Amino acid sequence: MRLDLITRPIVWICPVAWFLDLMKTPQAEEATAQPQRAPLENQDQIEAATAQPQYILSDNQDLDPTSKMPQNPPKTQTNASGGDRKMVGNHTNGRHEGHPRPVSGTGSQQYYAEHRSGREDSSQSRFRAQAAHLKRIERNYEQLVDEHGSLQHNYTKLYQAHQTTIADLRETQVACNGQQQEIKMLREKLRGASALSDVRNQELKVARTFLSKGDLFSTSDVVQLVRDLNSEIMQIAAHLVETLPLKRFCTPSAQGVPEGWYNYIFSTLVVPQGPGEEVDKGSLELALQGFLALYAHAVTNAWSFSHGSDWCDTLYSKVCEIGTLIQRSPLPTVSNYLSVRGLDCC
Amino acid sequence: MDLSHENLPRAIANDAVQHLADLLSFRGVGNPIDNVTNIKKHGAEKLETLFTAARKLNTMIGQNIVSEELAVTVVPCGTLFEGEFMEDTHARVGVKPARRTVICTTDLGLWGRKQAKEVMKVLSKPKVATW
Repeated sequence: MRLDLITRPIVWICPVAWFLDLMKTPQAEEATAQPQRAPLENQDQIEAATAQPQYILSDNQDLDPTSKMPQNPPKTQTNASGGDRKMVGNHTNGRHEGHPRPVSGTGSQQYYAEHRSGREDSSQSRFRAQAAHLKRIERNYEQLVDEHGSLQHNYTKLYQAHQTTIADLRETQVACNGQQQEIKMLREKLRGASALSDVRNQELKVARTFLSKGDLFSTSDVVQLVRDLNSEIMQIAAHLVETLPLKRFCTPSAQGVPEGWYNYIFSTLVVPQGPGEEVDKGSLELALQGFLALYAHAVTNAWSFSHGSDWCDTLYSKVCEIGTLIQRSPLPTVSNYLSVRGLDCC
Repeated sequence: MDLSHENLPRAIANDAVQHLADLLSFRGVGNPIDNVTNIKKHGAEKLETLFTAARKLNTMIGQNIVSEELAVTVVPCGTLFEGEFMEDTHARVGVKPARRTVICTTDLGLWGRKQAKEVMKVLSKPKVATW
């Protein structure tokens, strides 16, 4: 768009300038050739030289053909215009070939007078047309010059606006780069804050577990659950005493019996009678209650129910997790550390 | 046996059945071959229920109570009876409490304290059988 506005006046101006240059050429040549001519000798030669038709208009010359028309046309056409020169030559040739020149007398004078008047009329009309054409061209040229000036002014304004826009764009780009750097720094800070938050979440995981569920159960709930557990133990013991065959089947063996509280209870309470007789149900019920109570105690107080090779590692990790609880608690007893199977060692 | 899964009460019940059958067999009670089957038949389901409740109590004490530190207690077998910390529900008549020896704990007890510097207090005395 912008290039079109710039080149359009140039396209129009170039042919007009070429045409004006072409029209000015004879006058310029004549003006440059005059100093080289020989000085005119008399007044007739001066008049003949000045009486040549002036077809090329200067800038300050009046375009009225009647005011500046040459009164005495020259005998030989020396017009510099190529087109006019050719036309005049043809006319001259036609005149010599088609119309025999009168020899002498008034007839010839009349012929020359008529011929001169007709040629003057045609020249004047042609001159007027060319003058009008030149005037139109000059008018168009002036319009084009004005348009070129306005376009150049607009182009200057647009170029300045373009430069201003480029400067603003550069400033904006610099500001954008600064903001990107700031965003990058903020992202790094956010990443660090997230990592720190994760670490602190891990640190407070145990405390949060205990604190958030503190009100989930009350002490009375635990007491009630212990009572229910005792009731369950008593019912199971009574049910087993009622359902199991309690007759003596064989002699009690002292070999291979594991030492511990379980054997102590049964060896104390379950006393074998004679062959085929039943054991005392009350004593057996107490023994079963003691047996189940120990098992339930082992389950309720167990720290871990896994007893593999990594049992100590698991225990150590649990101790680390509840370090705060360990600090305010008494030293844990052996029974606290033992799992369900661990009670076999007692 | 993986005891960390949800089948933990059943696994403990099976272990208890086997252990009880062995103890009865050592004492000459019942046929050693049939003891396991009989105990499983009549008591396995109840034992599983019992150990489910015990597992729940373990969770409540170990993870869900912070306002008060609690501990389920039993009295060691063979220790002398102390009325301050235990209760004898099957006391023999004519025997002084100071001379009684604990045979077994029949009912679980519960101790607890609210602050770390306090001494553990008896919330529920364990019941014992003495002789």
